[in-house]
Amino acid sequence: MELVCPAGNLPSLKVAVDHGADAVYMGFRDDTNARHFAGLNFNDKRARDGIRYAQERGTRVFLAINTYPQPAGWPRWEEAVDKAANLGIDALICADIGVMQYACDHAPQLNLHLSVQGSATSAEAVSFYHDHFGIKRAVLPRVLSLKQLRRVVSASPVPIEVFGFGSLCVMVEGRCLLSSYVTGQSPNTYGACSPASAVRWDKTPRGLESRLNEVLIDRYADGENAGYPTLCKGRFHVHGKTGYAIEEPVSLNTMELLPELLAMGVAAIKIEGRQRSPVYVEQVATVWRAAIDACQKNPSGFHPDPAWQQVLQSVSEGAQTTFGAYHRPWQ
Amino acid sequence: MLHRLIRRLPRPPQAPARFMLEQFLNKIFATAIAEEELDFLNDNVFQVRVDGIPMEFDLTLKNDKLKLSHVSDQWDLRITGSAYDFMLLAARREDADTLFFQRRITTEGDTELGLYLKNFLDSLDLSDLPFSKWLEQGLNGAIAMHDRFEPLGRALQR
Repeated sequence: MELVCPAGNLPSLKVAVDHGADAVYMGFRDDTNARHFAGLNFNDKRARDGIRYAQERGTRVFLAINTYPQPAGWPRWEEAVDKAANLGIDALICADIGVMQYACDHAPQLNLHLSVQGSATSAEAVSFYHDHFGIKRAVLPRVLSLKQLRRVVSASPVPIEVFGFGSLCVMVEGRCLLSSYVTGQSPNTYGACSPASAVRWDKTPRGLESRLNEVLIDRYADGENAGYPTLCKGRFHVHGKTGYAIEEPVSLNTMELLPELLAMGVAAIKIEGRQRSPVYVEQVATVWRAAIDACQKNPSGFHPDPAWQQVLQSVSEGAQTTFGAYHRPWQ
Repeated sequence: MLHRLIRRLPRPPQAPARFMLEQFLNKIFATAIAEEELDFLNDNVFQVRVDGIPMEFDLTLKNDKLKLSHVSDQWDLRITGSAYDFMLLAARREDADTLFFQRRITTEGDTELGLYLKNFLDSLDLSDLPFSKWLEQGLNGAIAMHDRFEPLGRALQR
């Protein structure tokens, strides 16, 4: 089972490689990937340096071109695929069928992985991408229970990668319109959920307020942990009560489920967080490397070390972790 | 806590300290400024307030030089935190989002400017900076001293 770590910049890529990642994933500095944030990601020189650093040490590099191009911007996506092919990356993570077709036509040597943004939740959907574009791997969205995941993995024509750790949202990846609704921009086409230019944090007598395009998203009392200012993690007045009506600001942590994921044949564990710093990547990569190694050595006797869980807890959004949808008995 | 001890010391005048910091920042970020990596600070004022010690300033980029000045009301982004947490960030011992989630660092104003700054700092290869060894030793020494004296500080407060 592989460990796939995020790299939003060159130092993060290096620490991921140095601390046990089997593969790292990255993006270019534009809207062709779903972490299009100010100052994040790789320019051409840094991309070349990073890819060399990783590949020389036996770590593979995946590049995300996983947004959905709109008609006016299409040349940027072509250019990104061409650049990826020239850089010699190990796989392209994509979601849009036009981008996949372009890659198949112009850079057939590129390995394609279906992005989580593709929102494929069944073996049939994965098979479609395999039959038409020859994808080599699929990253599944975080909406499946373990039972459902097992069904997809067993019937999928390609290896399956799932998220093991990181921030959670409502997880309708590739289809969520909440950010568009408030700001006009979304991860799907612009590459950023709740773009920073629309975000305001204000200290007020009633607490720390986060606003998205002037809409109040949340108000945190003193000492209360904050989260990313996305609409899905906002607090709403519903039937006279104020609370998290859609999603709580929590992080996914599947470490305890590792033996089950391993047994069902999941090929890779993906860590979320290209927007986080090199410290986060180092902490999380170190802990997950140790956990995956321990689990592979002795799956039936595997128990997460409390010290590992403490590290993961401390870097989590909202400082709470959950199994997400993996433990939903009704699904 | 270290900053509680420092608070009891007589306050040094801020202007010379600011001047020295300005010289230092221009030195270590010379390459980044030349490569236009700090252009997001052009015409934008970034205010830093350090809780517990007399350190606060406005930072901007003018004519390819970082400028530090006395705090004003004309800031675009304000960041507030303790000296200890800023040191943890500078030494790459803590993640900025972690400190933000835990409410140990607060930002107000132009969030995108803050994101630029955070991502600029995260993308620096610290070993490439001038004085990197000295800087690392200094920061780690100060953090270690804080960690050592924090229990004592707490005990004295009781």
